[in-house]
Amino acid sequence: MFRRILATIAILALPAAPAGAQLTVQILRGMADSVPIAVVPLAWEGPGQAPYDVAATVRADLERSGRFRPLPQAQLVEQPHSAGEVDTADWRMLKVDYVLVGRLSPLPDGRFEIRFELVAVANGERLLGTAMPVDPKALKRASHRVSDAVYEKILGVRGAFATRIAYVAVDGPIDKRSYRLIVADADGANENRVFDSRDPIMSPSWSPDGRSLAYVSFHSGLSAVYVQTLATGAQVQVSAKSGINGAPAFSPDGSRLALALSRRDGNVDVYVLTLATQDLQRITEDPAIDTEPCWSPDGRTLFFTSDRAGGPQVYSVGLESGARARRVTFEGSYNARPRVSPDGRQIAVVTVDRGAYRIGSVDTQRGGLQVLSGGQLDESPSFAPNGADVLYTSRVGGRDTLAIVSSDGRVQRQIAASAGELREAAWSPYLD
Amino acid sequence: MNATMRTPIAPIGWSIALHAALAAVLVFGLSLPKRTEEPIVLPIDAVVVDDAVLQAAGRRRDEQERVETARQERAAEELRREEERLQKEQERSKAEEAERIAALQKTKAETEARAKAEAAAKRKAEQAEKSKAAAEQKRAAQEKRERDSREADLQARLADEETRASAGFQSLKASYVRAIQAHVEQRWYEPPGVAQGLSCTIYVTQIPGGEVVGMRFGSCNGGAAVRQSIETAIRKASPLPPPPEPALFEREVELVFTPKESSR
Repeated sequence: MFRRILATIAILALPAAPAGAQLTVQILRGMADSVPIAVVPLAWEGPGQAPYDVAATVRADLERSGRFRPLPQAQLVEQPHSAGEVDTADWRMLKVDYVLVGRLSPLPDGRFEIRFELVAVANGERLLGTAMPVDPKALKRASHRVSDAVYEKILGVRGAFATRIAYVAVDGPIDKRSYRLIVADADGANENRVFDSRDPIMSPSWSPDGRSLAYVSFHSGLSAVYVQTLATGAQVQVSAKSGINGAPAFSPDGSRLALALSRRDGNVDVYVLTLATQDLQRITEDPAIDTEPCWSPDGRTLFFTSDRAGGPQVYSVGLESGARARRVTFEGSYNARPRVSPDGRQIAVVTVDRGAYRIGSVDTQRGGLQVLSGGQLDESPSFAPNGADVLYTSRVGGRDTLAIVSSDGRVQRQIAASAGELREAAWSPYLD
Repeated sequence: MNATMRTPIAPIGWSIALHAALAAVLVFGLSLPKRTEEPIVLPIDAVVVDDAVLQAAGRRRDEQERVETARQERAAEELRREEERLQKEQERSKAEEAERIAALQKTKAETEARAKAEAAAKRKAEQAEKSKAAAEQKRAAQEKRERDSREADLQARLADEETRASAGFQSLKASYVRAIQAHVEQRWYEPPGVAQGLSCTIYVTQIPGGEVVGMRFGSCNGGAAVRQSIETAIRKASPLPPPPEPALFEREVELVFTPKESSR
């Protein structure tokens, strides 16, 4: 009897012991290269043809981001238009993780309404359900906003599809060059000429509100920095000192411009110009070239390129008086044109990697440089406002293109842009 | 049985004997007094017959006849009574015999019934005993089985523990863990920028065959999108890869998502 009790106790006591036997598995990285999603054409609830294919734009946006793998339209075995009509079992068979459905309908006031819903196939959860009235001319932009919402809901990062990019296109023979400052949608479409000149245009920089561009133009014969309001085209000259006036960069609050000026002594250093007062503050004073300044997100530090150690490298300097510059990049012989990510954790640079100019990323906390791009002549990196991607120019086979690489280097793709030589790409902030 | 057959003969024998005796008494009894009185005759006196004497002699004869009749009647009465008595005796004997037989029969029946009942009871008791023994045997067997099974279980667990502790098992376990890791990693789309400091634990319940039947988040510093991505990855990872050794199977698997940026 006692033996039985003891045996029972032993049996009862054992299950408690294997608690440590539970398997623990560490997941160190996500290897899936993209999220499979089905974007179902929106139902058009008005007469005749739908005025715009919202789903086509969303599909293209998501595909271009490199983070999504939209199901080809031919494989859409069914076309639900509301979350309630989504049969998750069917979509699971198609190996789709998410389904976007919706309707486009005319409103009595002449506008349209886009209603869309996002369903997670894994658990059938309705992740999004939004209705937005849209001006007939803004259907494309509204479609980008749908893409933004989907991107944010699934990836946890705000999408940047409804943003814009600025770049300089150079055309014509060597003796009859034409320079155009262009602003286009983030997908490269809808190009708008902001300013053009027979003389070089350089270094476009977006104001934090996305309404203005600062840039360098030689159209007066000498370099000068201008700020142009996009909506009106009004151009204001803000810096035309003797010598070089270059590389403007708006401060995060938009009240100041960081500049590279040579002034009378010919020594290029970094300055900060307060726009309202024209007050100029010298930030660096070094016999070497200090240029291409860029603001930290908190506006207290400037990163810049300097050849004070021989080859170009990135340095940082605090804006408080008496601060000393500190070297940031140590890997490689050439690291230039720093651009800080919106969260301040990364600095995108142009780096020489095995003889090629490529886009690199420097970790501001741990140091170390990771090469992101794989071209031969990749230049002028610029972060998307969500920090997820870096826009840059790339020369491929003698032809320039605009290219985007994800800030983790996993996804690279080109976007359509004007033919010719492309320089100085700059991604806009969010345009709300 | 012999007793019952013999007994009725006796009263009949007695009855015949008595009747014969009575008949003899009646025949010889009447003649005997005559013979005794006849020889007393005196020759002298015989000639002289006195009338009175004659009359007296007549009276005496009447008296004798009367006595004789009464005696005969008495004897008949006695015989009748004897017959009655015998009859009664016979009847009583008969009744007694019947009673005795009945009693005997009753006793016999009772004995038989008792014997029967006793036999039945005995049979019943025997049966009960038998089934009790069988039940006891069965219970003992069951107990033994259970004990054996418990002991086997215990042994198996101990063996399992030993196996688990062995180096070969540990290396198999490591390969099982790697298999699950690769299986989930290949299905996880890591949202951009999550690598920085993410630590997210999720407990996944699987059934033999690897099908994921449940999951719940433990501590997790990731946002909704990260959780969504992890949940989606695990649902896509179902069924999980089978263990290289069945003993390695665990119902609950703890998945710890701690991506390293440098690993990309």
